[in-house]
Amino acid sequence: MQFPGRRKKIGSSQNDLYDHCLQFYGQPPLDNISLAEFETLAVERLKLLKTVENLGVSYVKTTDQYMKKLETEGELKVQGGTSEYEKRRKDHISHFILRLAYCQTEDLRRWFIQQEMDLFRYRFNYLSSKHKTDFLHKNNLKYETVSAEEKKSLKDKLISSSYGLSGITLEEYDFYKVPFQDALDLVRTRKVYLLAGNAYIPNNEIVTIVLNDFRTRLSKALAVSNSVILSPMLSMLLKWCNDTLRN
Amino acid sequence: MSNADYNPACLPDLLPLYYRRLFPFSQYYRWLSYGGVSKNYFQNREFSFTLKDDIYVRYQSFSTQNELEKEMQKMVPYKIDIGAVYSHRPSQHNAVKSGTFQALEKELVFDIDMTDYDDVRRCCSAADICSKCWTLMTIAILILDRALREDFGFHHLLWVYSGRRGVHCWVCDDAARKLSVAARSAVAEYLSLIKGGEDTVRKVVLSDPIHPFIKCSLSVVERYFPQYAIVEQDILGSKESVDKVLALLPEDIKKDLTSFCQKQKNPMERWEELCTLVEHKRSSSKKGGQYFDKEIMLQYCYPRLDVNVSKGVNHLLKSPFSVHPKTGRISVPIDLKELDTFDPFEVPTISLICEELEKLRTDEVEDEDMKDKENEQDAGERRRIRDYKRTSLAKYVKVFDHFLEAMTRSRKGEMLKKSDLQADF
Repeated sequence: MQFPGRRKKIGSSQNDLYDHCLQFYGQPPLDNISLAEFETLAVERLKLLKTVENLGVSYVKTTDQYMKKLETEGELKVQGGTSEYEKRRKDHISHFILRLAYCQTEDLRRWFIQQEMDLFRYRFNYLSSKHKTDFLHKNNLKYETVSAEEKKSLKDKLISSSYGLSGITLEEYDFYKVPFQDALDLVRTRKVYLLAGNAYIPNNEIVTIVLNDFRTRLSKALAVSNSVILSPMLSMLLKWCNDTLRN
Repeated sequence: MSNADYNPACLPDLLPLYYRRLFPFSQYYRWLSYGGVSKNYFQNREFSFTLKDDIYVRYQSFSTQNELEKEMQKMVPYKIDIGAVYSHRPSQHNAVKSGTFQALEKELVFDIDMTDYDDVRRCCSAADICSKCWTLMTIAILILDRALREDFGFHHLLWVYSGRRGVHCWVCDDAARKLSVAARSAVAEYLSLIKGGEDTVRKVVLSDPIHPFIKCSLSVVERYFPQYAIVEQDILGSKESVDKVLALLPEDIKKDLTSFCQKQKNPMERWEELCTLVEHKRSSSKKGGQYFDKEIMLQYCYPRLDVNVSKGVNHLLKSPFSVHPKTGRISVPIDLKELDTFDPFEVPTISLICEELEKLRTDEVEDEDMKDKENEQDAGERRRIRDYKRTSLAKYVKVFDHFLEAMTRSRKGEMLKKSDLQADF
C-alpha cells in the first residue's frame, strides 16, 4: 500500500501564526512578496482603516448599527484567495506595511493606533466567548475565568460593583480574574470588584483590558519601527500610498 | 510622663546621642535591603537629610549599614526622608549620562494629615491634635489597612506615627514597590471618597450601586460615628455645627430637621431623627441613591488622602524612627493589634529616651564594658541593642521586628515555591 507522503508545508510554522482569526501583530511576517502585492496590500489596508475612521465618526462605536456597518464594509478586500488562511496572512502583512508608513510622526502614529484599535475592538467583540478566552491564553493574557461556585459566593458583591449587572447576566457572563495592575481604568473609577489583588471583570468588559494591552504593544512597536531606516524606494512607495489615499 | 520637657534647642545635644546609642540601624538596614534579593537595592536608595539651620541635602546614598551609621552620626540630620531606589547610586547621579538616572522602585505610601480634616473637626485645627480627633486616624488606618490587604492583596504594611499630626503607611510588598505611577494613582483614587476642596460643601456623593469597598468602609465609620461625631465633636449641638450638617441635606429634610431641632436639644436624638427622615425619603422615593445619612458620616470621618504623595515613585517621605523637630517625638511604628489604645501623646520624645539612657549609664556594670572592648564595632551594636531595649523605644522597635520577620518568612516562602517549581532538591 502506498500512502501519500506528507510533505512538510513551507511556512507551516506560519500556519500556527494564523491559528486564530485575531492577533496582536507581535511577529513581523517572514514572507517574500512581490512589489505589486506590497502596493495592493498597503492600499487595501489603508482603505479599510479609512472606512473604520469614517464609520467611527458617523456612528457611536458601541452600537449595533456600527457593528453591522463594519461587518459589511470592514473586511480587507483582497483578490487571489479568500481562504481563511489567505485572509489572515494578508491582514498580517498589510498591518506591518502600514506600520512602516505610519510610525514616522506623532500624528501619524496616533491616527494609525486609533483606527487599528477600533478595528481590533470590533473584531474582538465579534468573537464567541470561547474564542475570546482562546485569544487571551494564546497571547499570554493568562486570565482565569471565575468558577461558578466562586461567582455564586460573590454574587452580591459582583452585582454591586459592575454597573448594569443583574442576577441573570451574572450567571450568563464569564468573569475573568485580572491582576489589578492590568485594569487600572476600572480600578481608578471603582467600577470593578477587587479581591486579593485581582479585578473581577465581566466578559463584556474584558475587551477594555485587551485593548489597553493592544495599544501599549502597538505604541512600543511603532516607536521601534521609527528607528528603522527605510530604503529610498520603500520610502517613496509608502509616501505614494499615503498620498494616494489622502483623497 | 512622656514629654520629659522637650525643647527643640536641645536637639543638637540629643540627636548625636540618639544616632549613636538608640537609632535601630540594624533593623533599618535589614528593612531597606529586602533580603538582598535585588542587587544594590540599598546602595541605590535615595535618602534626604535636613540639617541644622534647615539645610536640605538630597541624593544621599550609602554602600553599607556602617556607612549609613557613620554618615548619620557625622551629619546629625534633624529630619530624614526616604526616597526611591534608583538605577544608579544617588550620590553619583551627576556622573550619570543625562536621562539614564531613573527612579525604579519605591514602597507604595500614604500620608494622612490631620490638617486635611480641619473643615470637619471642631476640637483642633492646623497642627494641633487631641485625643478626640485622633479617632479620625484610627478610622483611617482601619479602612485603608483592610482595603490594601483584602482588595489589593498586599501583606506587608508598616503604619507609622508621623510625630505630630498624622500617620503614614508604607506598603512594602514586592508588587507594591514595582508599581507604576499610573497604578499608584489608580490605587489612591480607588481609596478616595472625599472630593472637592474649600469651595465644595457636599464632598461625598453616593449613588447606586454602592460598591463593596464603600460598604466595608461605612461599617467601620458607623462603629465610631455616634461616639466620635455626635458626642465628642458635638456636630449636632450648637447652631453653627447643626447648620453645617443641614447644608449637606436636601431642602425637604432640612426643613423637617430644623423644626425638630427647635424642640429637641439632645444631639443623639437629632441624629436619629436625621437618619429616620433620610430612610423615609429613601424608601418612598422612586429615584435611587438617597444616601444623605451615609454621606454625612463619610464626610465627617472618612480618610482624606493626598493622592500626590502616593503617586510619585520618586516622592520622599519622612523616615520611620526619625525625630520630629517640632515635637521631639520619634516617628514610631504603630501596632495595629493595639490600635484602639494607641495614644500619640504617649509616644516617647527624644528627650525622654535620652534621659532614660542617661539613667542607665550610671547603673551600668563595668565588667561588661571590659568584654566589649575586644571588638569595638560589635560592642557598639550590642550596646545599642541593649540600650534601646531599656528605654521606652523598645516596644516600638519590637513592632518593627515583627514586621521584618513577616517579610523574611514571606520571602523564604517565595523562594521555596520557586525552587519547588524548578524541582530543586
